[in-house]
Amino acid sequence: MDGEIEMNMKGKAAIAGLGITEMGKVFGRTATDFAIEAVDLALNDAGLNKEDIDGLLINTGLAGGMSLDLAVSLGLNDLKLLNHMNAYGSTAGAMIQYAAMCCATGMTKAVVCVFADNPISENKSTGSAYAELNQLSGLAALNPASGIFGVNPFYAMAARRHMELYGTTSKQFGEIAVAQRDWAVMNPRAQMKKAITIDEHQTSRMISDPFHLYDCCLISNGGVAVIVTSSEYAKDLKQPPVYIWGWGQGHPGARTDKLVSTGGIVSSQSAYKMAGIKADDVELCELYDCYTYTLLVTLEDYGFCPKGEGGAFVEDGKIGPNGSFPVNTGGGQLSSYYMWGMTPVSEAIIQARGQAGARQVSKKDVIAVSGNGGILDYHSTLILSPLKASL
Amino acid sequence: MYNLSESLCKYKPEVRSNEATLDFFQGLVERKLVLQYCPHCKKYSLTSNRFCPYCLSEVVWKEVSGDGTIYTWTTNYQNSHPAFTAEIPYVIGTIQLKENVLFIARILNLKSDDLKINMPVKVNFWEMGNTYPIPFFEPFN
Repeated sequence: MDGEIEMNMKGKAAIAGLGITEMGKVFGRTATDFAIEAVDLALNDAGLNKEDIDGLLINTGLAGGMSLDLAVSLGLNDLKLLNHMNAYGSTAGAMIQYAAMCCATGMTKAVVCVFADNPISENKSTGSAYAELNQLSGLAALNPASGIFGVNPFYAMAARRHMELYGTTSKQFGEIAVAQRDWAVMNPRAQMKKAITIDEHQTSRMISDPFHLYDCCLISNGGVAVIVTSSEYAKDLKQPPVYIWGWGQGHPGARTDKLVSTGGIVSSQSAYKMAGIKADDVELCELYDCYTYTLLVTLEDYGFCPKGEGGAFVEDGKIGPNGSFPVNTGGGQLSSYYMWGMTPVSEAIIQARGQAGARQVSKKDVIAVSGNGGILDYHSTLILSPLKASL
Repeated sequence: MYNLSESLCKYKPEVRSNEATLDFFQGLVERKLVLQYCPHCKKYSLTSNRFCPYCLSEVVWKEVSGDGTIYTWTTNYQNSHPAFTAEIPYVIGTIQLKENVLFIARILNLKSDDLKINMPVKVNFWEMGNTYPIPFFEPFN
């Protein structure tokens, strides 16, 4: 039985609409405002009306602020599917999986999956953030009391362990940062528009060793909405459908080696099996890159190179615009915009449709998309294609 | 206008115990590292729950040596809180305790260049004055 149900789902659902708001330091809008704007853009993109939507899945970001009330704010009535989901950066991929199942089985006709966030504010009150730290009790209070804040040190420790075990170097992380910036330069939506060199990566200020500034993702205000329908429905809509060939999730839980062998292993294997492909068949990758290291370890876990060889794999501009293995062709979270899992999802849709302009790749029949959340705790995978069925 | 939250910036965040982990914090007062131990499957853990994550039996609290090895580390340069600014850069580590529990804490008296994975370290306690002693790790000898 294992795998049979998934095989039946291959290509039964598709992405029919995409809405991306203005990104970055955009003020005066709440997360809900960004979500509404993104949904409106996605409806126009798909050529659908609000009345065509019968499902809504919501993922709120760092700043929170979105709730099930979004259905009311959007004036969506009598929905057949509504939920507020959170597995952090893996949520976008997961939402699309659940939406695809609902549309493939006929439970719903068209489901909107939306992420929006406004973590950057014009009048930042750091004082109130410190006060919040003083509210912590129990084990959760030990880190801030020790001077351990945010997620940077935790991902830095994962990267350091990989370096110690496999000889990975900071310059190899730099290869990733440089390649993605080269892609971003060709993406009109990208927040970062100036190319960087390995030397500039190496001399950018230290954040949490081994991470320099250019190893860490951006922060963005904005929203992204994706509309999922059955493949039958999608083929008569305005945009070329992006078919969902396969999906998977992988959540390592208490497994202690998750820092260097993530949930991406289980997740990608499930997705490949459902899609009926192998890692070698993947032509384009859009991978979650909260840090350069996250991308590197995902390349290994997805089977593009053996464990421990991700550093050598990305050398010599291999994943950049002139390389043989394009990854994060919009600039990723490091250089375009940080919309959690919607960053890789949105670029995959644009590339699959052939709408990426100067940065459009020619080989895009099999696209692997990853989502990652927590400290490498939650993972989702999508295999997308402009083709309905096999290669 | 007096701003209470701004005045808190001068001080390190306070640690409050909670009911679920009272034994751990009582251990800190006595400068002891106390973990959860499962009498059923004989494994150690450190959570805020009553039950062992391996076999789901009820755990007891048990003092351990505080000896372990470095699993990984980072040197922090980010100025996240004014009360820690003077200490930058400082080393944060994940310690694999002898009881196979991963514990995240500051590493003192060692520089990043001198650190290696599997290097032996031992627990010590940092008296911060207005709160519980905070566990940190330092070289074994």
